[in-house]
Amino acid sequence: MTQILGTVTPYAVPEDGETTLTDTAERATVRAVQWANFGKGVPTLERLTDDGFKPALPLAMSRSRRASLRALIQLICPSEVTMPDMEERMELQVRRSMAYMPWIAAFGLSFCFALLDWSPRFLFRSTRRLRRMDRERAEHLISELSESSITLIRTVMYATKGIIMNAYFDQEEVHRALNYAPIPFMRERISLRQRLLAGHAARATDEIPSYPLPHEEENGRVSTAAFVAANAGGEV
Amino acid sequence: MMHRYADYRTNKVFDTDILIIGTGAGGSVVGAELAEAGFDVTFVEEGSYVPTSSFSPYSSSSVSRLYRDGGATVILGRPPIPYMEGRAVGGSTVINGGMCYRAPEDILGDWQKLTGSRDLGPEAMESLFERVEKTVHAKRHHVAAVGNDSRLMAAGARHMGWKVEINSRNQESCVGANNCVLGCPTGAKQSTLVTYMPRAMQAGARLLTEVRIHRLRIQNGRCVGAVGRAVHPETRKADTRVEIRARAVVVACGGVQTPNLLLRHRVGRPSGQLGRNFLCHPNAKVLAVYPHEVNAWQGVNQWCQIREFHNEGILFAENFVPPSALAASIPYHGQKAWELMQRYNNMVMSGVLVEDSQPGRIHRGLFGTAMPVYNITDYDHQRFLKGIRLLATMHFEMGAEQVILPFLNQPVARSIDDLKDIERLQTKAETLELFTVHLMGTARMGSRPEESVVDLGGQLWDLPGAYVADASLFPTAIGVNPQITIMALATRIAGRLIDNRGRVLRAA
Repeated sequence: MTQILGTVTPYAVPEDGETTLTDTAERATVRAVQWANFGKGVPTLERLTDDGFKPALPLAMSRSRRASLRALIQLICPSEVTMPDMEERMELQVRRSMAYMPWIAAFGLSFCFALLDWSPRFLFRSTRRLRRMDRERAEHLISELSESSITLIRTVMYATKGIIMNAYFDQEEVHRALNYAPIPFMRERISLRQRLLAGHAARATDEIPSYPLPHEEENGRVSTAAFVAANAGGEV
Repeated sequence: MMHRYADYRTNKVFDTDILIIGTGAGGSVVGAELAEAGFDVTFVEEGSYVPTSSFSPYSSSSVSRLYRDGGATVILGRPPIPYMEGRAVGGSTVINGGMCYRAPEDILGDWQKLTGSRDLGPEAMESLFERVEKTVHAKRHHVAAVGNDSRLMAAGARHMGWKVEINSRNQESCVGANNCVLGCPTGAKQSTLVTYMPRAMQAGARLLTEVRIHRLRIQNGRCVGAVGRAVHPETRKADTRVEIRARAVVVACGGVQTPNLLLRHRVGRPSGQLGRNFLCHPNAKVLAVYPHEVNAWQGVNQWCQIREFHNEGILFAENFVPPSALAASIPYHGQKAWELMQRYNNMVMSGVLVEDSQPGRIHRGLFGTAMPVYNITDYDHQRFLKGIRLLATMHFEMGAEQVILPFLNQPVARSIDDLKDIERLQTKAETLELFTVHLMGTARMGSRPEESVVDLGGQLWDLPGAYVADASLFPTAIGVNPQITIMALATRIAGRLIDNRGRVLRAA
């Protein structure tokens, strides 16, 4: 039997089909069944699903460059939520994200980490590097650089801050502290959709709870709830 | 048949009728139409195959898998503009908001005048739009999917006396999980991953994932395939050489990557327009913080748009994102960032979209990377200032306590009075913070080689056998979300190829 799916069976795609068929119509039918679920499926909503995908290895960095990155993580991330091995987790996540950038961008960003670490000396603010300055002064310097009138410096800070904040606010501990709970909500929505696709009608309790809005009674207008209902699609 | 990195150890050379580079709104549509018409079609996609079952709300893992360069892409200029593109099977349709707007009739009328052909006019495009909308189930949402940020925006616009337009979106039983930008976990968003690509695969198309195309194969002045390298999923190095021989090649890599690939071959010479006319609908974000919970992460990504100022090329809309993406864009860090982010559930993220008044350009930069350059004009700057002031005013009228503004030197307004300073303080475009997702116009379509890059069938004027089928084709900016227009033009190009089947297959 010839393999249809190539030498390695791709993830989330049905098993090999029978390809010894000579009739074109039969072949088409086999293919239709085989690929009917292409792209589809119900997610587990886990951070890394066991689907055969291999994430990139963290970008290689020297020990000194990693120390610069950790100093920036300490300064840029809020300290309110305690997480085990926070710096290590953030560092790994940042380096893994950088592995997906074009090498020239990743190299540039990594160079920026070092540049920022040395910036107190370049700017004659301190004889120490950022990683050894006291936190308050270092934070102040980072704020100043973020608001620099020089576009290049601002862009460096934007990229550095963006990648670190993105990693921090993607942690479950932080989500809990923010009362952001997407997993149970999505599970509930996935099951609602399955119910709707099975032919059941949406109930009033399926609607997302709404809050009172101001200016609802002005000029004899219909309420927003009535406006939304009037403009919603008929079929689900 | 689908291949990924490990498969290229044994299979390195492929033969096909039509090679399609890219599986987004353009490529997947051309590929599905051609495969169903009996062509032997091979897709090449730089990203991976990420099915619905793998989607999650975690941005760090999702962005790496679904976005070009892990989301670290930027347009150089005044000011620099970060931009986002999809890089996975389904392209940007997997990560977009799913808005389904046809190019407006007046724009199509302009295209008709510019090209001197009725083919791009409103009447000729009508049936193509209908066909595409039917395939992707373009329609309005059920009330169960509408969230509080959408209700608030609609109520705010009505309070201000502004025109609200309800979005039609490519969705089937959308229930408002609001994870559009990281892949729809319910499968409701009808991206090409779950619409056109399954159709193409069922019709026998071949899909080569995790291959980055580096150059086209050109023989005797005709495009006869492409050569690329498979990208190792762990090291991210493009190592194994993969060659695809074809009778025709459709380049559908988007408004930035398509001209970048073609520029390598110095094509588009008759007009010199390849890479020029880069349009991007820049956006500015306006983040409002309310005294009460809004929980904008629940409910459809964007239910409506405020179109009161559409004649001036200004649009307002809500577009909520996960906390990680939001935190990366706020003007604070450390304790100050935390104080603001603690109110995540009280936030409404809205945006001002301004239609381009002047194009930029795509250059081929160092080591073959695309280098988009774009500057906003004084006119654009003034429209942004107006739009931001109006949208922030609406939020204050609706009870917002503070509004985070997209200005470097004026990051927050705590009352309507603070907005009066906008005109005084915002004198330079450099202090404006923008982003974009609509990239178009860089290989414009036309009826004369001296002013366009491709003909009305999508074929390059000076490289027979090479076609373009993505937003690069747009002769002008369209002022609305482009996916439906891209799909309609791609359907048209597929139709031309089917009509000329004999000539296409005999060639090369």
